[in-house]
Amino acid sequence: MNCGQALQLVQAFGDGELDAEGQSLVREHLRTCAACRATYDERRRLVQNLAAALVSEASAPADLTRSVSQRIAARPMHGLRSLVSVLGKGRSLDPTESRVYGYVHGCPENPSERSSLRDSAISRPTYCAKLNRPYTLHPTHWGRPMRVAFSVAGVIGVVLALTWMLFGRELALAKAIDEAMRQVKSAHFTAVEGERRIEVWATPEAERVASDEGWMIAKDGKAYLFDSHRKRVTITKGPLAQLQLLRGLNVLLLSARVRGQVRGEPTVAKKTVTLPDGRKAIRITASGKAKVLGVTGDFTGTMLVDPATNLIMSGEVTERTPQLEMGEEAVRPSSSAHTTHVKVDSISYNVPVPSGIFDTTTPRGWKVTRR
Amino acid sequence: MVTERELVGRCLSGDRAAFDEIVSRYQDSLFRHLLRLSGSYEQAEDLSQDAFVRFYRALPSFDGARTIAPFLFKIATNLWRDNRRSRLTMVGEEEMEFLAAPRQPDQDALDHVEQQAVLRALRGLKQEYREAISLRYDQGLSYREIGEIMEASPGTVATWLSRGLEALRQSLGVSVKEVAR
Repeated sequence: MNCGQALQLVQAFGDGELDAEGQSLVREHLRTCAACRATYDERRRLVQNLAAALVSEASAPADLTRSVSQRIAARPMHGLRSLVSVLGKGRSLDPTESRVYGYVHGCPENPSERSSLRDSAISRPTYCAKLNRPYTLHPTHWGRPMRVAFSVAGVIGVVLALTWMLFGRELALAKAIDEAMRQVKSAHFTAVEGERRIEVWATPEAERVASDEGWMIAKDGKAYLFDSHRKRVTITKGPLAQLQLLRGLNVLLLSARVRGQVRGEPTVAKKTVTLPDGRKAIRITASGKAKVLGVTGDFTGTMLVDPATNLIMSGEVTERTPQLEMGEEAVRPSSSAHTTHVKVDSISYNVPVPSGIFDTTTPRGWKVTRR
Repeated sequence: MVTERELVGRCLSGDRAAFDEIVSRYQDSLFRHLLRLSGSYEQAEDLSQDAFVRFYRALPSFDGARTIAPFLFKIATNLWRDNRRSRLTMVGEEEMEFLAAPRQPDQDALDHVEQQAVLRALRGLKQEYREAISLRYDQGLSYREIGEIMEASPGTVATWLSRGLEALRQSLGVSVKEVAR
C-alpha cells in the first residue's frame, strides 16, 4: 500500500469502517510511514475536538418531551383519529403546528423568551425581521369539527356508493314493488279494458272485480263468478280461478311480477316526471314476457309511482298472448292471438272496505253451478 | 438499561412512558443534528417534534430488530428537506451567532473558543459534508447507516467525510493563521 492509497483510507481506518484486511494493511502502512502517521494523528485530534464541539453545541429545549407527548395524545397511533388524519391529510388537529415561522422585531436573544414570544405572536400580525416585510397570518389548518365532518361525510359517501353499486339495480324496481305491497292493506281502483270498465277492490285476503257483465270474488282459493246475464253463480277452483284473478289484477305490472308471472328480467326504465297538476312522479316503464297458465306472452307496461310513498298512482299494461279458450274444465290456448290493454287510474290505498263486498253468499233468485 | 427493542415493543402495546423514554434518549442528538442542518433553533425544535411524532406513527411498520437512530434521523432529514423547500425566510447571521453561544457558563474559556472555531468552520462546509460529519461524529452512526439516511453508498459517505474533514482542517488552519497575525 502506497501513501496515496493509505491517505484515502485513513479516515475510514480511524472510524473502524474497513474490513479486517483493510484495517491490517493501513495499520501496517502507518507503522512504517511517518508522514501518513502524522496526517492520521492530526485527523484523530481534529475528530476528537470536533466530536467534543458537536456534543456540547446545544441541548434540546426542556419541554420537547412534553410537547411531543401532547401531540401524540392528541393524535393516537391507531383508531378513528388515524382515519381522520388520513382523510384530512395535510391539515393538522394539533394547534402547536400553527406556529409562526419568522421573527418579531426586536426579538430577544434568550431562547426561552424567544419561545414564549413566538407562541404569543401566533394570534397577531407580525413581521419577519430578516426580510423586514409584513406578512399576514392565515389559519394553517382546518378546525377539528370541520375535519371530523368531512371525514364522516366521506365515509357515508363511500358506504352509499358501495350500496348503490351492489344493490342499486335491485332497488330500482324491486324496492318500489316491495314498498307498495308492504304498505297496502286495501286498494281500490278502476280499470278500462277494451269496452269494459272494471272496478277492483283488493285486500290481502280477497279480491273483487266487477263490471257491467257481473263480478267476481276471489277468496280462499276459490273464484265466485256472478254472471249478470245468465243469472247464475259459478264457483271455480284451480286454473280458471287463477285466470280470473289475473284478469282483474295483472293490470298492475307489479302484481304480475310479485306473483311470479313475469319471466326473466324485464327491461325497466325509471324517470322522474312532472304531472299536469304539478306533482312529481316516478315513471316506470317495463317490457318483457309474462306467463299466464302456461301460456307465455309479451307485455309492456307503464306505471306512475309516488316518490314519497312508492305507491302506484296509475298503470297501463298491454298484453299480447295467444287466445285462451275457457272450456268447462280447463283453459287452453288457441291459434289466434289476443291483445289486452288495460288502463288503471284512480287508485286509492288503505280505503275502508264496504261491508259485504266480499260476501260470497248466493243472492236470492240465483242458482249455483260448480266446476 | 432497557433495550431499544423492548422500548419499541412497549410502545406498540400502548405504553406511552416507553415512548417518552425514547424521546428522552434521542432528543438532544436529534435536536443538534437538525440545528446543524437548518441553522435555526426554532426550526430545529419544530422539526424535532415533527420527527418524533412521525416516528411514533411509523412504529407499527418499524423493524424492531433495527436500531432506532437511523430510522429516526432518516425521518428527521426528510422532514428538514421538505421544510427547506417550503420555507420563505432565510436564516440570518445573528441566528448563527446565537447557535454558537456558550451553553455552559462554567465551561473552560479556551475550550469554548476552540469549539466555537470548529463549529464556525463546520458551518462553512458543503451541505453533504456537514450532514455526514454530524451523523458520524455526533450521532456515532456507521457509514452504512449514514448512507441509508443520506441515500448514498458507504463509499460515498467515506469520501464526504474524508473531504469534509480535510476542508475543516484547512479552514481551521487558516483561522489559526489569521489569529496568529
